[in-house]
Amino acid sequence: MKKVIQWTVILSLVLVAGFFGVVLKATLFDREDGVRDKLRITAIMPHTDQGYWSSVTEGILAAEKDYSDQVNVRVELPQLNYNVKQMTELVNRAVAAKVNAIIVQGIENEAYLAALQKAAEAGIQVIFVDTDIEDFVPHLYVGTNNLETGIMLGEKLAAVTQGKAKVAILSGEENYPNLEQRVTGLKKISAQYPDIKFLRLDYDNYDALTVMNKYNLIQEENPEIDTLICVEGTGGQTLGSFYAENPGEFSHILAFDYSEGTIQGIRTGMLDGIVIQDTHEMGYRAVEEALNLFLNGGYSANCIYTDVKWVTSSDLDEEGHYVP
Amino acid sequence: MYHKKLIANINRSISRKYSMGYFLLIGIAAILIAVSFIGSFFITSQNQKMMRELLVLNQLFIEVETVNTYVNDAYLYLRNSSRQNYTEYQDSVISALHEVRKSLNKEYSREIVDITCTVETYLEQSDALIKKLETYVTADKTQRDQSSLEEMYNQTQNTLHYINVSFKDVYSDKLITVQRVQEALKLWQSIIYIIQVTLLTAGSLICIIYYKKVLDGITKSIHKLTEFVGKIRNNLYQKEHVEISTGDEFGEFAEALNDMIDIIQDQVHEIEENSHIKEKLHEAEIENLRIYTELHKSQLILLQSRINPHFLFNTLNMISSTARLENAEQSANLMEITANYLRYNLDKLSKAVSLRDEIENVKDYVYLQKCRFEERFDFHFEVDPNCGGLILPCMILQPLVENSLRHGVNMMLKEGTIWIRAYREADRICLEVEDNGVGMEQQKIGELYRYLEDITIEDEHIGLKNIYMRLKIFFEDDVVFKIDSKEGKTLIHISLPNQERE
Repeated sequence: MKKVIQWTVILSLVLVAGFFGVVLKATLFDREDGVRDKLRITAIMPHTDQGYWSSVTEGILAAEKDYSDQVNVRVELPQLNYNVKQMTELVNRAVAAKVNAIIVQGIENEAYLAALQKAAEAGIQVIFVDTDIEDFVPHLYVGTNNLETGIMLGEKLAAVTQGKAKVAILSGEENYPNLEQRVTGLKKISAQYPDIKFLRLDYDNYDALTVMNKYNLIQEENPEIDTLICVEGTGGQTLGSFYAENPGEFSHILAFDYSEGTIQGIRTGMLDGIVIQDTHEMGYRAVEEALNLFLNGGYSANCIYTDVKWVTSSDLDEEGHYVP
Repeated sequence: MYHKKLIANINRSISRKYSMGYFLLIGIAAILIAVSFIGSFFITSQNQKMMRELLVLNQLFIEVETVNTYVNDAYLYLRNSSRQNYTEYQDSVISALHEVRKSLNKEYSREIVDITCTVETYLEQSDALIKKLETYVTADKTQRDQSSLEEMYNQTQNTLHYINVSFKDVYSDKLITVQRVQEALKLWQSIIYIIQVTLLTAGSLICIIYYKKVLDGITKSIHKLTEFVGKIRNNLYQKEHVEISTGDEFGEFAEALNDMIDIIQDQVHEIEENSHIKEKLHEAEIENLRIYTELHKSQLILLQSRINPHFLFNTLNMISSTARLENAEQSANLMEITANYLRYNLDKLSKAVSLRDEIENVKDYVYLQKCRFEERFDFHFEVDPNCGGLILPCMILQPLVENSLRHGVNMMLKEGTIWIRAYREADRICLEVEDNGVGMEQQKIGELYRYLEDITIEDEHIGLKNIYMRLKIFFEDDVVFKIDSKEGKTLIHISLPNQERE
C-alpha cells in the first residue's frame, strides 16, 4: 500500500510536471524561434491555384522543414495571378526587409527585373525557378531544360504516331522563352522523321476558353491535322477535363504538366501522354542552393536542371491515379 | 527484548500509518495548490507577454510614424528645424527598434525580423534623404538635383508603406495569435480545472482507500486476536498461532501473545510431567511403604513365633548340660543342634547371611527332622562349594525345606525325598528345593504365583511370599522365582545374582 501511494504521488508529480513542461509548452509556445540567425528567404510565386506552382511551393516548404534550423521561408503571392506589378512590389518589400534570398519566376518585365537587379546589388540572392533569365548576374536557374524536354517530346511524338503525323502545336504566351525552347526542341524531330509535319502553331494565353476555341478552330481550318501537341499546361488540362472520352477529332494529343485534368485525359484516352516536370524538386533545390551559397559561398551550378518524365496510361495505378 | 523490537519497529506503527495519511492529504493539497499557482502564473505571464509584445511593436510603429512626419516636413517645406527634429528623433526609433528585438529575444518571428530590417532600411533611406536635403539647401541653385531628391523621398515613402503593410500584417498575425493563445488558455484553464478536480477526486479516493485499509487492518487484527484468545480459552493446548502481518503494533502484540502462549503451554506441560512423575513416585513410595510394612509384619510374626524357641533355646542348653552329666549323649547332641538351630533363627533373623551358613542351618533342621521321622524321609544336599559365599537374607532355604516336608512328602510313609541344591548358572547362582511329594495342580500353581505378586492377599502361604518379597527387596527385583510341580514332584527354583562376599 505504501509503495502504491508513493508511486501514485510520484506519478501525479510527473504528470503535473509533464502537463506544464511539455504539453503547455508545446501548445502555447508553438512559435518560430531563433529565426534571427536563420537564412531568410522570400519566395514570390505567381500563384498557387493550379498544381504546378503549388507543387513548387510544396517543394520550397519541404526544404524549409528539412533545414528548419537554418532556413526560414516566407511565401508571398500577388493578389492577382501573374500580376507582375504586385510581384515587383513584393520584391521591393523583400529588399527593404533585407532578406537573404529571393526565389522568383524569371519574367521578362523591366520593372520586375530592375527590382530584382536592385536586390542583387543589395547582396540578396536571386534564384529563378521554372523560367530563366539567362543574362541576369549573378545567375542561378533551377528548373526544366526546356529545349531537351522539347526534343524528348518529339521522340515521344514519333513513337506514338509511328513517324507519320500532321501536327498542330498549341502554346501559351507568344515569345515566352520556355515555350519557344520546347517548340524548337520538338520541331527537331522532323529531321529524323520527314513524314512528321508541323502545320500550324497557335497560342492559348493560359485560359481554357482560348484552348477550346483553338481546338475547334484547328479542326475547322486544317481538317487534315491528326495530332495536337500542347506545349503548355493549360492546353492538356483543359482538354483532359472537358472531354469525358476522346471525341476522335485528333488521332493523337500530347500534352504538358501534371494536373487533375491531364491525368484524367490520360485515363479517358483523350491524351496519349504528358510530360511531367519535377516541380517539387524545383522548389526544394532552389532552397538548398540558397543555403549552399550561404554556407559554402557558391552554387552547385548556375543552371540546375530538374527531372522530366513521360507519363502514359501504363503509369497509372489500377484506380487510374498517378503516383509519382 | 520486545521493548527494543517495538522501538525498532516504531516506523511501522499505527500512528505512523495515520501520519502517512495526513502527509498524503497535505501532499495532494500541495499538488492542487501547485497546479493552481503554476497554472494561473503561467496564464497571467502569457497574457502579459502578449500584451508587452503588442505594446513594444506599437511603440515602434508610433516612433516611425513620428519620425516620418519630420521627414515629410523636411522634404516638403525644407525646414531646418524638421531636419534637426529628425536627427533627434531618429534615436527614439533606434531605441524602440532595440526594445522590439530585446523583448522578442529568441522568439523572434520572421515577420518581426522583416519589420525591424525594413525599419532599418527606412532609417538608412531617410537619413540619406535628410543629408541630401542639407546639401540641397546649402548648394548653389544650379547644382541642385531635385529629381534624385524626389526619387529618394519616394523610396522612403515606399519603404514606409511596406512598414505600414508589414505592421498591419504583424498586428493581424499577432491578434490572431493572441486570439489563438486566448482560446488555448481558456482550453488549458478548463484542463487545469479538470486536473484539479481529478487530483482532488483521486486524492480523496486514495485517502479514503488508505484509511479504509488502515482501519480494516486494525479491525481484522482485533478480530483475529479476539478469535485466537477465544480458541485458547477453549483449548489451551492448541498448536495454532495467530498471524498478523500488518507490520504494526498488532503484529508485535500477536508475536508476543504467540510467544506467551508457547511459554504457558510449555510450563503447563512441564507441570503436568512433574505431576505425573510425582504421582508415580508417590505410588512407588506407597508400594515401598506397603512392602516394608509387610516385611515388618512378617518379621514381627517371625519374632513372635521365636519367642518360645528363645525360651526353649535356654532351656535346651540347660537340658543338654544335664543330659551330658547323666551320660545321655544322643539327647545331649539333639539338644545342642536344636539349640544351634534356634540360635541361628534368633540371632541372624534380620541380617544377611552367607549361603554356607544358610545351608548349615538347613542341615541342622534336617538333622532334627531326621531324628523325628527316622528313615521315613530322605534329604540330599547337592551344593556347589563355590556358591557358599553368596550373601542372601536369612531363613530362605529352611522355610522352603519345611514347606516341602509339610505339604510335599508329609503324607508319605516312606521314601519321601527332599533335594537341596545350590549351583552356578552363568553369572547367577541357583537355589532349588525339590521333593517327590504329592505335587500341585497347575491351577494351584497359578494361584500361588498371583498370591506371590499381589501383596494385598494373605493366606496360608505367607512363608513362601515372605521369602519371595525379602529376596526381591534384597536383590532389587533381580530374582527369578519358579514353581514347577506335577504329581510326584514339586520344585522351587530361585535364581539370584552372584553377590558373593568372603
